[in-house]
Parts: sequence; C-alpha cells; structure tokens
Amino acid sequence: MADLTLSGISKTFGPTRVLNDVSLSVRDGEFLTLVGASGCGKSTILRVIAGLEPQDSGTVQIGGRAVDHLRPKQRNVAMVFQSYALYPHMSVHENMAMPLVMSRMSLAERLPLLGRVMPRRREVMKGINAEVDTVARQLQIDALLGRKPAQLSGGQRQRVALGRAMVRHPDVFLMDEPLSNLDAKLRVHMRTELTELHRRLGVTFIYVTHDQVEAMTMSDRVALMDEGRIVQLGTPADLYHNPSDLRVARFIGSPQVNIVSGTTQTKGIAVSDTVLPMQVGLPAGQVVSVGLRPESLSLDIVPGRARLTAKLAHVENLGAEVFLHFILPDSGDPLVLRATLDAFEAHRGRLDQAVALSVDTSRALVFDTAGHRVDSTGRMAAQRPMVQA
Amino acid sequence: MTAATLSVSRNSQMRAEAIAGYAFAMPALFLILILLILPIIVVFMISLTDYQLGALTWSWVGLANYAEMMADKAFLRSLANTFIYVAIVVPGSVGFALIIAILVQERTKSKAIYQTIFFLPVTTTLIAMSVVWHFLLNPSLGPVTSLARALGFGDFDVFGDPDLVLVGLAVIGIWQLVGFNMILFLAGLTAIPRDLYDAADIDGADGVWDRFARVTWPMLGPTTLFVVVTSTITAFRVFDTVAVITRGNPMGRSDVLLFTLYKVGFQDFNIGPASAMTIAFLVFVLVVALAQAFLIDRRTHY
Amino acid sequence: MAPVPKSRPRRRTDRLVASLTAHFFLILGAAFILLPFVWMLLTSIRPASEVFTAGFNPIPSAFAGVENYSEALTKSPLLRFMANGVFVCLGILAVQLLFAIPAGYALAKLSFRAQPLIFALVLFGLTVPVQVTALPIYIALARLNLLDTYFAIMVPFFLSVFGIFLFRQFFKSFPQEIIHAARLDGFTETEIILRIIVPSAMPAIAAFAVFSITSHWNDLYWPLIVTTSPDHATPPLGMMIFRDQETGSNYGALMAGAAIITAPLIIAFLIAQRHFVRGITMTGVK
Repeated sequence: MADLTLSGISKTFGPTRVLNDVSLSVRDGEFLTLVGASGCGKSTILRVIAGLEPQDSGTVQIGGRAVDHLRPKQRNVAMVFQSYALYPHMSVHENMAMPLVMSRMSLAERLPLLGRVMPRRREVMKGINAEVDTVARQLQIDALLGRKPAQLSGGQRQRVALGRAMVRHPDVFLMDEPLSNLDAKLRVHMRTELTELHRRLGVTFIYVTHDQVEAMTMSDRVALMDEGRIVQLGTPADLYHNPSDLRVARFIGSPQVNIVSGTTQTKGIAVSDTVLPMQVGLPAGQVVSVGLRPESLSLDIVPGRARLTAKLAHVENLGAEVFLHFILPDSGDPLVLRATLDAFEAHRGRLDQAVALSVDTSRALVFDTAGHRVDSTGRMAAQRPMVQA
Repeated sequence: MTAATLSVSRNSQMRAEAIAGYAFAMPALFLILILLILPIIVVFMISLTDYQLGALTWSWVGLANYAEMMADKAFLRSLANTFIYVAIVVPGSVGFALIIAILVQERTKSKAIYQTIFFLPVTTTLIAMSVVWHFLLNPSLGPVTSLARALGFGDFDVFGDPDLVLVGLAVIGIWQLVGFNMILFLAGLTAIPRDLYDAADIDGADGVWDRFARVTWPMLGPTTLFVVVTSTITAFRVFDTVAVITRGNPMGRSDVLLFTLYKVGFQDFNIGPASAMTIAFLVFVLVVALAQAFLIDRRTHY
Repeated sequence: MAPVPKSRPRRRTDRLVASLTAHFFLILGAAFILLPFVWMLLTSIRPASEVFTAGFNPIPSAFAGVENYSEALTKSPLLRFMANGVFVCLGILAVQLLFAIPAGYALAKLSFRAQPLIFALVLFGLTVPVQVTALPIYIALARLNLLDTYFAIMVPFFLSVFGIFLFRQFFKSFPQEIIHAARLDGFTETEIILRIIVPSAMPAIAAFAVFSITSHWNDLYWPLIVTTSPDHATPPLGMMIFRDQETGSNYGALMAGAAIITAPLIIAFLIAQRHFVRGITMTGVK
C-alpha cells in the first residue's frame, strides 16, 4: 500500500507528444480514475507508472520512493490489461501463480525439469498454491482453476486477470480499461464488484477508462485528460457540477451538457430570446458559451427564473424519465431537457407549440471562447491547483 | 518543475530490452554474416581473380572471368535452355493450377481428395520421382511410350530427342509445381467475397465465362502475380531432373544454368568462371525479386 | 441437403452436366499426377522378367514385391541413406530453431538500435538461393578439411533467414499486453521466450518444421557437392547412387527403392495433410 506521485512526466512518440508535463498525486488507498477520449495519453501514463515504457522526463514515486530506475517487476505494481493478457497455454491456476513463482523461486527452481529436484521448490509451491486458492475463492473462480483461458467467458477471464493481480499484494493496482471487453450488463455488475474489491483491499487503484459513467460511479477522484495533459482533477461531483473547462463539461454527463452561444451584457448574458441574470466579470459584448445541464431546464414555470422559448423536436422516453429534445427557434441550437414522466405528462398538451422553459441559472456554466470557465464559481475551479502536494 | 529529477537516460526496462535484443539477435546475425554476406562478398572477389582450388597464390584478373563466361557457348546455351524451360513451365503450371483450383473450389464432397492428389508431388522427393519418370518415358520399356506406340503414334524418345528433351523436363516441372500453385490459387479464391458473385448474377453476368472474366480473374490479380513470380524463381532453379535424367544430354540441349554451374564449379573446379556464373545467377534472382517488390507495390493501387 | 435458393434458378440437368464436366477434367488431371506413383508401385511388385516384356500392361502377372523390396534394401544401403536423412534433417531443424526463434522474437518484440539493419539483412537473405553461397562455403569447408561430413551437409542451412522472418511475423501478432504482463510478473526475456512465446508458437514451429524437413530431405544440390562417399549420403543422393548401380538391370528393385525413399514423406503428408499444406505453402504467404 502506498501513495503515488507523478511529477512533470512528458513523453513523445516520434513527432507526437503523448504526455505533456503531467503531475499528479494519488493518495494511499485512493481509487483514482484517468478518463478521456482515446489517444489522450491515459494508458501511456499507466505504462509509465508500471515501467513498461520509459518517460522522456519527470519522476514517478511510489510510497515516497523514486522508482524510475526500477524494472517493472521491482516496482510492486500489478496491472489488469484490457485484453486481460492471460498466458494462453497456462491454466487459470498457473496464470494466477505466475507472479508468485517468479518472485519467490530462484532461477534454478523455475527451470522446467531441473527445477523439480530442487529441495526448496515443493515447499514454496505449496505456499503459492494455498495463496492462489484463497484469492480464487474470494473471486469465486476456484472451480475454474484447471481450465485454460480459451475455455472461459469474458467475465471469468476478467476475474482471473484480477486474481493474478491480487495474489502479489501490490502497492498499486493499475487497470487499463478492464471492463471494455465485457457486454453491457456484465460491465454494470463488474463496476460494483470492483468498487467492492477496492474497499475490501484498501489498496491504491489507478483506473483508466474512456467511459465517463465508470469514472463517475467508481472513483474517489477523477482526472480528465486531453491531449496529454490533465485538464481537471477532482471528485466526480466536482467534475460534473464545477467543470473548469468546456471539454470537461462536454465529456462528463449523459445526455451531454447543452451548449448555447450567448453574449455578455451589463445585466447578464443574452441567450436566444432571453437574458440570463448572471455576472461573469467580462466586459459587455463578449461572445461566450453557456452550458446548461439537461436537469437545469424545466417545463414548470418557476417564478424569478429566466425563460427560454423553444420548440420540441422529439421525445426519448426511457420509462421513468424522459429526454425532450428542443430546438431554439432563432439559432437552431439543440437543447435537451430531462423531465420526470409525470412532468412530461402534465405538460404534454401544450408541447405542440413553442413553449417557455425555466432556466436554473445558479447551475449554468459559462465559458469564454477559449473554453475556460468564466463565471464566479468556475473561476475558482480553474484556479484550484491540480497537484495536491 | 522537477523534470530534471530523471537523468533522461533510457530507463532500466528499455536498457534491459536492448541488451536482450542484442543477445537474441547476435547468434543469428553471426550466421547471417558468415553464411550469407561473407560468402557473397567472397564469391564476388573470386570472380575477379584467377583463384584455383588449393592454390596458394592468385592474382586479380579484372573481368576476364565474365568475358570467358560470355564467350562460353555452353553457358549461353544453358542460359537459353533455362529460359525456354521457364517459358514452358510457368504458363503451364500457372494456367493448369488456375483451372484446377476453380474446378476444385466448386466441388463439395470430393474437394479434399482432389486437393490431396494434386498436392502429392509437391511433398515427394523429386529425385526418386525423376527416376520413375525416366522409366515411364523410356523409349523401349516405358509404359507411356508403349501405349503411344500401341495407339499408333510411332516411336519416340523424349529424353533422347534434342527437340523434345526440354519439353519432357518441363512436363515433370509442371507435374511437380501445379499442386503448389493450386493451393495458392485456392487461398485467393476463398478470399473473394461470395457477394460479388451474387452481385454479378443480379447484374446479368451469370455465365461461367462472365463470372470468371468479371469477378474471378480481376479479383485474383494479386494472387496470380505472386504465383507467376514464385513459379518463375522455382523454374529458373531447375536442377534435380536434369541431374538425374539427362545430365545435359542430348548434345547439351538440356543443359540448364544451375547444372552448368555445378559442372563448371564442382566437377571441373573451374572456380573463376563458376563464381562469375554465380554472380550472374544472383543478379537474375535479385532482378526478379525487385520486379516482384515493384509490382506488388503497384498492385495496391487498384 | 436443403436446396439453396440461387439468384437464378438453374435446371438440375444443367448443374449435373457442369459437375460431370468438371469431374472429367479433374480426373484426367489426377490421373496424370498419379501416373508415376501408381506405376512406381506396380513395377515395384512386378517380376523382373515381366518388366522387359511388358509394354503397356498395368497389372503384374505375379507378385514379386518381396524379391524387389528385399533386393532394394540389401543391394544398396538404403536404410543407411534414410537414417542419414533423418539425422541431417533433425540436426538442421534443431539448429535453425535455436537461432531463429530468439532472433525472431528480438526482431518482433524488442527494440534496439541494430534491429532495422538486421531485419533488412534477413529480407535480403530471403532472395538469395543456396546455390549462390555454395561455392565459397565449399571452398571454406575444403580448406578446413570438413568435406564429406554430416557437418558439411548441414552447415549452410543452420541459418534459415526464412525461419527468422516467419517467426518474426508470427511473434509480431502476439499480444504485446501478455508480454507486458509477463514482465510485470517478473519474467526475464529468456523466460518469456521459453515459457510464453514457444508454447504459443507451436503451430508456427510445426509448420516451419514441415517446411524445413521436406526441403532438406529432398535436397540434392548441396549434398551432391559436398558428399563423396555413400556413408553420409542423404536419400536423394542415395537414390542416384542406387540408380547408377542398377541401370538397365532391375527396374523392379529400382522402383521399390524409389517407393521406400518417398514413403516417409508421403505417409506423413497423408496423415498430417493440413500441416503439410500450411508448412510448404508458407513460402507463399510472405
């Protein structure tokens, strides 16, 4: 168990800069997720931490100790790969025992035939087998120990990969999109199981995914990456409610945040046919992007709130809740509104014509043309230091 | 801020990888150098000297060996014979292989049997089968000649007739190569999407010839090119049948390049001209390889 | 079989005619291919007297297989030639694998400075036939007094650039993540080869073994050059020696000899056809 600090990690592959001065500190026992679109550098960070790929500059520290000079096996990290990376010709048991065999047996004892006559081997093997059995029981794969990876389902392979990581009691678990090869239903199930596992083991987890739902539901903190940099680091709630950057706002949340263009005025921000009463500290006449989460719009007329006139385009009915897709009449910008089924039913009669939607401006997000957050709370979020020392 | 903490040297994993890389590649590289590169350099050097086997002294003779080679009627004849042999074997083995592959491809139950039969000569020892062919076509005892005589074709002696001998050898060459080419064509045919034939059917190209000309042949272009190149190289290296059956006879009409090279170099130990021939042979092989690389590069455009 | 609906329904008789025509030509071709095999077997059991008078008469009048085969085995050391062949082929294969597998792994999965150069040399080597290097290697062996030894027969083939190339291609497609996992688990690079790569490369090793064994079992050119005594002769060379002894005297025994020498590969081919087709046509996959 250990904390982990990255300072100033940069890396280039040929002409492309995949990591650009990344600094990050992960607390002992924390579940930290690196999330971002493919190619943002998140998997490369994992490989740098594991020592599978060298960084061009910067330092990795695990438990307060720089590990840059250490080989992967010496760093005491375990990694679960997207493809699980199970050894195809070995049984589940052999796969799981492998890290222990490698660390506890001498080279001579590992030799195929000669190894068997080494005196200590039997005893060591016995200990290893016991530990593998324990972990296998924890993961409920003890019935599969004799099988080969090809005879397992995706979910079972996933567990074996986890088991292989667990037996070595690593300081840090590194997980590279471990759920992306599973079907949707199993993925949801494994989310809870992984969170549970993390709670039980109490070890530092660094988890890489492109799926914002996984990031939001499992992590203590999330680092959103883009173009080799960490754009924002914070709790899932932070990233959702208080994004420092337009990219973060867009990436986190489903359905996506609504972005409408506006212009600053002395009294607020002019959007479509209304003025949102908000102060953003920009001179009048500036073009800004206003982010409105689907739940900060409502069909009910709330006194004191600004109203936007929009026309309904189509309805996505999910059962308990409904996503209403509106169009702003003058700009043609789309606008998604999240409503309960009851609210939708109550207003259904008048939706064939343009209607006024109440806007909760306290939750609106304002970004300048460069994509930086400019409303008061956003300012603070943007200035928050990314590295927590 | 702490970018300088790491002395930007490659990390230990990378160093370990490089060390392992050299350790694993070195033995093979050593063999490449002493069994491939060095011999090629040596044979080229020898071709410019008057070196004789066992001689202690030698001197540079410039291109004299090449001049001797080019003036050598036997060499030129063997070169011409080789080209004639190639000119028969390549179209024969490629054409028949294509027809057989198309016919075999459409069989269901008998496909495996035909494949096995046609592939059989590819695996068998050509020397032994050359002895059998020699016997089959023996002018007095051979069953094929007896049958021909019985059918009224008269006497003929394939391997004794200066005009027929290369054809006879080429028939054996085709016999051996056709199954190999068939397998390559079958692989190419399987890769043609069935949809294309259905589309051709709907477009009205549903006759046997139309299907071949509009779908099969164009789609097989890359495969055909490849089969032609490998067949050319194989045919160009003909040696076994000549060594067993004709030994260049009658009257040198079946002398082929490698057999001449063998005679000059390893029977007469005429090292200088033999090394010049070796270089000529290498040049030809490299030209074919380059042509192949060039054509394969080009074919990606369609 | 359920009738498959065709885009254009063909009449049954049409299809029958097409199928019969195809079979006609295929059987004709197959007969041409099989002719030497069948005649070899028929002659190998034919009495000597009949061979000279036979003309075109397929079925032997009496069974003389025992005489012919025992003569083939006693008059000439055929079994010795076969044993030489087995020894030479296995020796060559073992050394080839020993050098080619690590080199293939290094070229596919490890990065080091000289890698592109070595790979370029391998690609160049693919185009160079053994006849090009034969002369200098022969001279070197003569100088070292090593002619007419097993070593001389095997040495040019210890290097298989094709093997290196093949294994490099095969290992290229091996998942990098598994190798990463192995490094994290503490495998050394040698152990990665022995415990991970080799076990999963068995199909490639089998295919390469077939390729290597058939080409060296059948090779004549190089053994003919370096071998002078029958002691080290490989099967093709033995066949030539045997033929030269027997010319004009006993075709029955000669055909029996040919059958014996071709039998191992034919039987192996019939048993493991798929491996053979794969292994031998591998040269066509590059």
